[in-house]
Amino acid sequence: MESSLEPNLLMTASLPRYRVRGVFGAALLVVLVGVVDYFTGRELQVVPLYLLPVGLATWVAGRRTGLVFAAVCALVWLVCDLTSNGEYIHAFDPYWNAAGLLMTFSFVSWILSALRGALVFLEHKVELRTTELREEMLKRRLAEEARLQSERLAVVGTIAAQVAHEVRNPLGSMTLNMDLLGLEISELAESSKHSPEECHFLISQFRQELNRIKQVVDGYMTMARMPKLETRRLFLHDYLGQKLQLIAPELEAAKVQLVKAFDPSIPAVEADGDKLWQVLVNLIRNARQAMPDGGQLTVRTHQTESELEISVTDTGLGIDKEHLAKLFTPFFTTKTDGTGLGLVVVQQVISEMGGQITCQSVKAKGTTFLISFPLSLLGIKLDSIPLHQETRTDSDAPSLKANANSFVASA
Amino acid sequence: MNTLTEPLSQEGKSLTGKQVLVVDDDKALLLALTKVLRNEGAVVLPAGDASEAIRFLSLNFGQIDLVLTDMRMPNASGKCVLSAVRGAYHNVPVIVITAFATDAIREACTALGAFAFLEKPVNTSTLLGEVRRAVGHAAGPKPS
Repeated sequence: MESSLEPNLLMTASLPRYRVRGVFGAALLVVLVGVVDYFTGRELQVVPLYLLPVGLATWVAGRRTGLVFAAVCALVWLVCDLTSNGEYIHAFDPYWNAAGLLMTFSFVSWILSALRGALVFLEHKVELRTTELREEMLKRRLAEEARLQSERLAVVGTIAAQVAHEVRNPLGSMTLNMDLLGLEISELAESSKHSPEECHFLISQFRQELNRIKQVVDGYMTMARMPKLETRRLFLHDYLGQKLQLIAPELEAAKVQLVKAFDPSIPAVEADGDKLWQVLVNLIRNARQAMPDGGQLTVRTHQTESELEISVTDTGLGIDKEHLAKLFTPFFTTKTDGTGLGLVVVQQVISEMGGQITCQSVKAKGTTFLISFPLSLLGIKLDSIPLHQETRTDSDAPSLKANANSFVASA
Repeated sequence: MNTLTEPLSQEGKSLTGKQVLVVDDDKALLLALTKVLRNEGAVVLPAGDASEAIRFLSLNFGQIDLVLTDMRMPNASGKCVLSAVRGAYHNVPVIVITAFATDAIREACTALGAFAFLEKPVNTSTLLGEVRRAVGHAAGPKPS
């Protein structure tokens, strides 16, 4: 007998089989309660038991069926009452009582049906909302990808004019030097006493300027064509430790002491290790150059509630406040041989990985570059945390790749 | 059009005795410009940025015959040089040589009183042509 009054979330208004069974069950209940009522007579009131069939019928079959059952139950009660050996002061009394019961049962049925209707309506609403939410998330994700793409294009567009500038300057000096070279060659041809020194100097200038142009173009191409991220599961500290080991000799030679401050609570992450290292090595080399007489370089990882932070700190010359603002501007550089594109690429890569980079600096004290990533983007599930490769086997690996939809799907 | 491969015309030392202030933050280009002008007999004052240029202007007041300046420089742009010259040294012609030759910049420079506007890379004969024209002009009233 379908006696469950629990709302079934998948149930919709029209499931005839369910309904028929429910009504049948309610009918059986009426008979049962009626029998009980008859045999208990007027000694024991079993009126509340009639609410069971009324409730069931209303719930499964709607208000009208419920009201019918209310009437039936009131009738059954009346019959039981009239056939019991009871005396009333007025003959009218049992009919009055029955009418009262009818109203009560109807009222209950009405309330239940209203409740039921509201429930169905809310379920429907929730389903609608969930679908809307999913669509919204998808739209957001597409928009975010489009935004990243257009941001990249915008940067590329902005620097196109700057590339022209950066290439035209060396072209300018090369043009003039070429004419000067021509003059020198004429002089050399005319007089054997004329020194070829100036010739050689002009040619070396040429080489320098050619190199400059090459660097600008290379840097621009690196920025314009960023290969897609290839993420894989990474044991961050092991990976960083390995890579830092490779550049340790370089740092030692520069009298830079390397300090590793790794947060032990950081689990395996889903990230593009190569890109991440590309960024870090760039920052580390900048840091080393900021410490021409040696110093201390700290690579630190830290996990907050919602983010993973990686920072590179040096004890070097520091950066002027005016320069800090322009740090990530294309072609801005304080180095005589710099392209001014290193940090731009760094920021682009980090932005593509979904993170952020900031810089803090105190003149003559040092500089810190701080990179932060939202944990959700790194596929970190905090309940299954491996610390080192040795303590876990791959069969226990947490599920891979959190994406924008996953939290909706699991909600 | 600006072709880069024309041979130098042999007009000799046409800028003898003239003092030229050259302003550009690009060291290699500054050096090349200096050499080209010195070859023509000019005395060249090279400046690496606008503030250095303005300092030279005030130190050599009355003796500078021509200013050659870039537009895009760190801290202060070529516009500052233009304004400074216009403000205090009206007779000195200024030739702007820049890699950023948009119409807007061209108009702005003309409005600030630039004598000529050249786009990098400029070949030697074009450059010298404009320089000679400017220096010759300086003898008469300045064109508005």
